[in-house]
Amino acid sequence: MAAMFQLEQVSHLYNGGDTEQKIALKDVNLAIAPGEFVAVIGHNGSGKSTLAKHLNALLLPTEGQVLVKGMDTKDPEQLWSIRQTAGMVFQNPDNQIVATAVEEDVAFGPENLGVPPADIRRRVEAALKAVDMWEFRQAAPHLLSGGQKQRIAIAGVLAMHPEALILDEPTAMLDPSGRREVMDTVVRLNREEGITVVHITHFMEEAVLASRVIVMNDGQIVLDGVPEEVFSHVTELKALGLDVPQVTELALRLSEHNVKLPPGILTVERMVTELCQLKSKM
Amino acid sequence: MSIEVQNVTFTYQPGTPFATTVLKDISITIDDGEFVGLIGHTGSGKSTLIQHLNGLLTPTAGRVLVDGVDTKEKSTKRLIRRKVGLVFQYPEHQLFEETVAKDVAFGPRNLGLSEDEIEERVEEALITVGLSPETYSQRSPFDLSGGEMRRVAIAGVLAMRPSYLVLDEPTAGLDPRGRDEILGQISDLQKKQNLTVVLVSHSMEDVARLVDRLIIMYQGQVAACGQPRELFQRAEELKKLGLGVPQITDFMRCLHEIAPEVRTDILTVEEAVPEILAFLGRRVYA
Repeated sequence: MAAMFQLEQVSHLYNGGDTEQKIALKDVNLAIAPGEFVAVIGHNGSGKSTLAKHLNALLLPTEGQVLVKGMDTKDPEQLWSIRQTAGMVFQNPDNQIVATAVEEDVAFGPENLGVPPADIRRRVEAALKAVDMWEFRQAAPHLLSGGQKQRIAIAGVLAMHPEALILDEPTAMLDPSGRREVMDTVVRLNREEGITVVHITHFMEEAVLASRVIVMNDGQIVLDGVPEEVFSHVTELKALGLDVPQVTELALRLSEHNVKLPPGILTVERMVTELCQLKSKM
Repeated sequence: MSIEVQNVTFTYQPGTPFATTVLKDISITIDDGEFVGLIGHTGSGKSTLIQHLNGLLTPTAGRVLVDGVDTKEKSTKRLIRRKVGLVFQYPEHQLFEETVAKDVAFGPRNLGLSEDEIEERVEEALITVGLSPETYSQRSPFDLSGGEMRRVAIAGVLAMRPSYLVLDEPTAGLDPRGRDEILGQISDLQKKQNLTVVLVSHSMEDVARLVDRLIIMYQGQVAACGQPRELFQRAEELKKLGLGVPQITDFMRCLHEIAPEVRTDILTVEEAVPEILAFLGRRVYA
């Protein structure tokens, strides 16, 4: 099966305002299969957003190539098809909403694709139901909460019938309940609709929901694996200025006291189970 | 010295069909030198409340006293704004000058201070937020990273030398390192200069380890108020208010259900380590 995203020796140079050039990506190789849920973490300036923008041709590699379902992002002929395959949601919901009613906003994408009106209605309905916002279809977007607006933005992408969703810190501006709403939606779309998800975040509790975590530093991929594996590198992650879940950190601290727990404990439930097992063996 | 919020009610667009009451009969006191955390989900009234603390908004009913002075008093408005420094959400959007030094100097210059005094304050404020004046003063604020811009904006407020510093989610959108740096600097300031700080935050982990006292807002009212150690034990209640508890506190509670000897009032990983070692029957070395 063709990869959803295939990056081959991708480097990207930004031209700063002055003569100074900044290397944002260095020789990145990466393949993401259809149906994967990949979380990308890394500190500010590590290259995660630059990487994301290469996945739907918002940026083009300075060197190397990016293939989206086999389509080269450098080929202008394929641009529409690429953007339709991989839709992007950004950090600030207020910058992504264009219409005065929710359903019109969601219809904006398919209208531009020239989808017949009856079909647009069906797509808008399905997209709004998928993000659990159907009852708000007539509402004015500016009166919605941040979490609701971000779900509208996701619906707007879904109405384009993409195969992949790229989310660039979609929860950074939301409160805890808004974050939960968005993450529940993203997880459901991945599991139930089989949509490939690439989720960029600073929140480790979101990264542990993914099936694969990629850690970026200095324009390169430094760790890549299942969350349990990646988060077992507590010391490296901390050195990169990143967080680990508190129970993961607790496991590390306990190991310094000779308490032997398996690596990669990420959740409260797992930690409780492991400790109780350990105690019962004593 | 304190900020006293007495029976404050605030209604947006009163007397119109759009009238919305967002604060309902709130009474709180912020004492001198305290580090107060203000939490509550979006729409609970946090931002409206903090705009009352420096007179940007004045109550529809009730009153706010800053060091005994009513914020409704027109003649003392400038004094109150100087005493209570307010850092908005995403304050870097308010940067506008050509250089970092000029931006930070904007407030003090409006106070009519001498050039020497302004320069001294700018330098001090930049150092406080961890930006070396030699490196940053002459740079354009727009060439800086998000975290650096945020710190320049906070320096601009500190240069006014406020007695009270009120910050509305100062770490939103920053990476973990940027977040820890800014919170560390705020915590240092509070301790060393005895500055009173009110921190609005969505991060239970952050408020748990930093603040002396928590105020929880819900639907325009104060739902609860107390020390984090006490409040975070009431997890069920917090969940109903759309909030949570730090993961480590949640973990200790879950373990407590199986092993009742385990303490539940744990707020940080450091505190949890000896508890778990004791639970496992290991000797704990100090």
